[in-house]
Amino acid sequence: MLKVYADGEEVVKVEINTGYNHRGVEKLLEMNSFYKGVFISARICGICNTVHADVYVRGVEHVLGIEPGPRAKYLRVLAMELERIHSHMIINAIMAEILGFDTLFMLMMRDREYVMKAKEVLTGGRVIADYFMPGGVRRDIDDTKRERILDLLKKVKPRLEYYRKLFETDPTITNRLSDVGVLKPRDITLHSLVGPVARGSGIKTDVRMEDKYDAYDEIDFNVIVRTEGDSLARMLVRWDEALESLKMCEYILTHLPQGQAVVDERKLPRVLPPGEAFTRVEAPRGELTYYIIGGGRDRPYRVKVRTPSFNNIINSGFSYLRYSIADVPVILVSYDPCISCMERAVLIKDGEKKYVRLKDIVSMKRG
Amino acid sequence: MTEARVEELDPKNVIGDLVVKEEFARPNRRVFTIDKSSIREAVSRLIKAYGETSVYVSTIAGVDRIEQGVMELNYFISILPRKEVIVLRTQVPRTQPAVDTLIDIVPGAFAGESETFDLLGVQFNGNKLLKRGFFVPEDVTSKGVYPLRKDAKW
Repeated sequence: MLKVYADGEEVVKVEINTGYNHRGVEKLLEMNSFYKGVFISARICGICNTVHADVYVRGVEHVLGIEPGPRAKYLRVLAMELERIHSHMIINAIMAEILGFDTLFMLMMRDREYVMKAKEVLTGGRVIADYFMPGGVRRDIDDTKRERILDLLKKVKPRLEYYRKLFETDPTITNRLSDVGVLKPRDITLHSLVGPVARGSGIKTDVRMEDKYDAYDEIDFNVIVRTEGDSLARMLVRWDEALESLKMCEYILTHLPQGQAVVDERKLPRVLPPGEAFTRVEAPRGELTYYIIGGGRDRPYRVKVRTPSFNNIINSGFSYLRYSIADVPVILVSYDPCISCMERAVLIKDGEKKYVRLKDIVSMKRG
Repeated sequence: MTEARVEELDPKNVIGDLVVKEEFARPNRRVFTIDKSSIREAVSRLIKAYGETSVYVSTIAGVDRIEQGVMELNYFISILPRKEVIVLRTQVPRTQPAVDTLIDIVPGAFAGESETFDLLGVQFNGNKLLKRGFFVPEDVTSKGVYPLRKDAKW
């Protein structure tokens, strides 16, 4: 919940309350066997479930001392990059809706279905994948599926290029987004902001490049950095990243190594030995970290999850100050919040509380 | 300091005299155990050495080590030019867990400190923004329960 205090139209103070989104997931992970944890962690977030599962699984692998084969690593990256494309598309679509551009929202959501379909062909689920398992993945692909995914990606590419061009050149969009919510590089690091928000302000940080986990050491990609630091820069970073991800997916599908990818789950160890691992992943919203401690039992001693929106939303209260009320939804959406963390806004006028939704603020501006 | 030199600067040279013990956490993180009184000093020195735009506090992971009677705090600090994450580990007594806040040096510690306070009951001296119920629902906070402590009753 974002509590915004305004003097006239100008924002003077912002309080952030996370609301009742504490679901006790860390406790749940401590109380269940580490195999169930693979599926619990994937349910922390619907949109970015594969990155959650990947970072958890890699943490468990480090504690167990096992390593997946090259084919499995490539397939993991493929699942995560498909997810990045559709996640970046959905937030740009939401941004279009916030701007009052509902047709654009619908068009983007339609084209996003190609990517969802590709993800379904690969993992079996269009949203929740449940694709990851310590030691490998849970499904392999054959040539038919590979061709099918490549075919779908071919349809997505021109659409992504078109939307990117639209965000860069359309005056309705650029006028609304440029110079709104400007963040200096110093603001980013001092407030621990991560992901496309940091890269939109000239901070070159990307866990894929820093940690080179899974197959990212073998797959070539560019880290997109822009220096403007405003809401438009953040959205354009996402479009460029989606195009980079598309290239990576095509590379993976044409250079997939041979070998065993699916792991025999019956032969996996049943006990998590003492040890600790701190794994990170570049989720669509930024750096996602897991800290896993094994205690010689079937369940982990402690699992600490830090999601990117946790930093990006809770620490970003300062960035709304001195902008007008109508800029608040734009700035917030440009941080790509998991909207379930947001609940609603409270409007306090002369001491009287009134709850308003994000949409109402947008129509207030238009009226 | 030029960028090339910052890259070569080992964090151990910056905070070496504060380090009590050095360990290793997989995959490739160095863990520096320091006394709880030197956490502010360590973070300030790292920011000074690498520059304000090169260091950020990634997360604070609190662990309830009930058998040893301590709360362990792990500050994960990302040093961007070195592409490295280091861990500053400190321990506070479980009976009265308290440590100095970092919020005036790095405001980004706010999210981590709020969470550690609400879920594990570690007090951060000097942080006036801490409050119960930031994450935990009211029916739990009203009983004074810190849910991630190992002896929390459900």
